[in-house]
Amino acid sequence: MATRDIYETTFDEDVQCEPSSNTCPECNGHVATNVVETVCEDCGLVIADQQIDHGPEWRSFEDDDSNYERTGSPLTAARHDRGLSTTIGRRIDGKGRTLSGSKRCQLARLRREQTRGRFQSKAERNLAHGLGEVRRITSALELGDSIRDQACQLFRSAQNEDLLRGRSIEAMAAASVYGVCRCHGRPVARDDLVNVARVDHSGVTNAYKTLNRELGLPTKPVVPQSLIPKLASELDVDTRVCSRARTLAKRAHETAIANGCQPSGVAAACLYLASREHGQPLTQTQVAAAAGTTPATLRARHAELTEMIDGEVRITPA
Amino acid sequence: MSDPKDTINIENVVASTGIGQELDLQSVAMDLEGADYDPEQFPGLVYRTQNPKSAALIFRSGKIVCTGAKSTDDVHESLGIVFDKLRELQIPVDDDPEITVQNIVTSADLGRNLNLNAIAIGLGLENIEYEPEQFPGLVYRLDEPKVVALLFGSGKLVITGGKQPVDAEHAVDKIVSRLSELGLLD
Repeated sequence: MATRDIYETTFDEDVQCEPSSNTCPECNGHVATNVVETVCEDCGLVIADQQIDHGPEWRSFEDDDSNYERTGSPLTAARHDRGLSTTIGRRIDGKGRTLSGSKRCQLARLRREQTRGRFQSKAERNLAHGLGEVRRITSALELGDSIRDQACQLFRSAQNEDLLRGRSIEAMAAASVYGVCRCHGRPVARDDLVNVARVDHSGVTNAYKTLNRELGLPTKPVVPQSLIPKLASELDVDTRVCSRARTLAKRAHETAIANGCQPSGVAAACLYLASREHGQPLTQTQVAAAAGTTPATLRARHAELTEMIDGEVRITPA
Repeated sequence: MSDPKDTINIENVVASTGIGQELDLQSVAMDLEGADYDPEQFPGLVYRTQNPKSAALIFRSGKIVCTGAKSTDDVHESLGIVFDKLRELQIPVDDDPEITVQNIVTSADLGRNLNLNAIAIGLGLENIEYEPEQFPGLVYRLDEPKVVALLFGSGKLVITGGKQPVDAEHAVDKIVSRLSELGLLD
């Protein structure tokens, strides 16, 4: 693909030194590293000495808290250049001294060229745009860092497989986020995703279908019990109601009431039933609207659920 | 298992052919009774036959697509009728143009309820599309034969994409064997 390998053009100043193996080459014993040398504890073979001290080059003895670092932030998959970017500063130089006028003009010219040269190809520019979209969506949906990084990685794989061609980058970014959440078994509601992303339902669906099929994602089917906590918090119900609803949803899933039916409808019916059992009735319209389904579906699943509880009978779908 | 194979029913056969001769659809539409031609809506002329019940789409290039037939013989018969009608209109048509079956859609019944969730996990999440929020059926794409099977909770199947009727039988065999291996067929 046209995106370059970052280590060919930039370098990571904070180089971590890892031992090449944990077993001794002669006796396959355990190898330990202390400050001075790497030695095998069983046979005493010295594997490496003259360790390079990777500690800081200097210490700041000034009274103010200025601590000039040469290293930057850790490598991250969430940026197109993996975090190895350069930003040219403005009025002051590295040691805190103010710069002369001509120097500032020179830095302005350098800054302009640096901004222009950031992307080596259109593919990199698209990658940066897409990853920025993924970061924005994950932060708007308040998803964690690991999900953000995995979604960025998924977007990169999609670009490598040439799936971006003919589809909008925003749709693929949204679909990457959705795909990662589905793989973890904690699906984000499509409506929420569509509100945050700059695409509509059909764009996200199409992009996700392509991602799922071409990349072979191990996405778990949506189960009703995973939708209950969010629904419960949106409708502001008791924890007892919520846990009862979750038990009902699990039973519904096991007895195959949810087979082939919309999981949001099943979740809505469980919550409705649980709230009525505990004497905190919610209206069908309320619950259905919060779940993104209709009162008719809620009523149908509710009827099946009550049958299941009363008779403890295995419900066979029609 | 012979039981599901007995329930295999061909629902639709799509075939394409061509007479190798460009047509003036406007005049064909005027002369041929029962033909619908609305160039603003669809660039082809739609000619529906009652016996066998099917629809033939005739295009300006001379290519013809026939859909709605219930078997490969029906498709040949209905295209034969279309060719005869065109010959009546003094359009030169070969004696035996080549008819290619493009798609056969079949339905089948496994006769028992299926737990789609368990099937999705058992057959491998990578080969399956199961989105109960969007569509109640599970989409299972097979490589050999190259068909797509839709499985529903009631145990009914739809197999589409096959080019021959035996493709559906092989597909049903494969699906039944894989499901029994996984113990999902009770």
